[in-house]
Amino acid sequence: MNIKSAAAIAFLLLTISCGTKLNSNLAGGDQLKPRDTALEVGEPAPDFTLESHHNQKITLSSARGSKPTVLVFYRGNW
Amino acid sequence: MRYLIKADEQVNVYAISVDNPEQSREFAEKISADGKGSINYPILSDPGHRLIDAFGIRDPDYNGQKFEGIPHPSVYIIDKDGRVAWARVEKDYKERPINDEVRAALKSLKMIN
Repeated sequence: MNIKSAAAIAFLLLTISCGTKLNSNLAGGDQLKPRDTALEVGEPAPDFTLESHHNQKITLSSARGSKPTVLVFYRGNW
Repeated sequence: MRYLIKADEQVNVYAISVDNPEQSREFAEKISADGKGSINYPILSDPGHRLIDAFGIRDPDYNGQKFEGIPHPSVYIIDKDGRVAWARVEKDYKERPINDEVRAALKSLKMIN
């Protein structure tokens, strides 16, 4: 690996880590890693903070408390 | 949607889409407009589909299109320790996990009476 490509990789890593930090306020941050296959039974669910239709911030780990949570993913209003 | 499952005191229920909060409000109003009942749980916004991608349930048919990031219709039951206890991911968008099925799963997991 030459210096130029090493520098390019370093820059890329820096960009990725900055991007992750910027996004972390929005939706769970570092835990939200994309995956190719659907999350399966027994796996830990990624934690998240998302805004509700009444503009409340909901964080799974704090909302969960001692209760189970049902997440319904749907196609949206269209 | 409102028939999928009723939020009750034993479980938290959240709906999630790529819509922003305003679009979700419009959706909730549209549902309740017929007077047969409203949505009594929060609709959460995942506009950048980061959570949808973290669950691995993005419908790839919409990649590169206006509706990129739309999920397969899916229901996940997360136990109180944060693990997936039950999951139903529909690959055919015309099929939806139905209320009875989710309720039966919650019962068999002893999460509701």
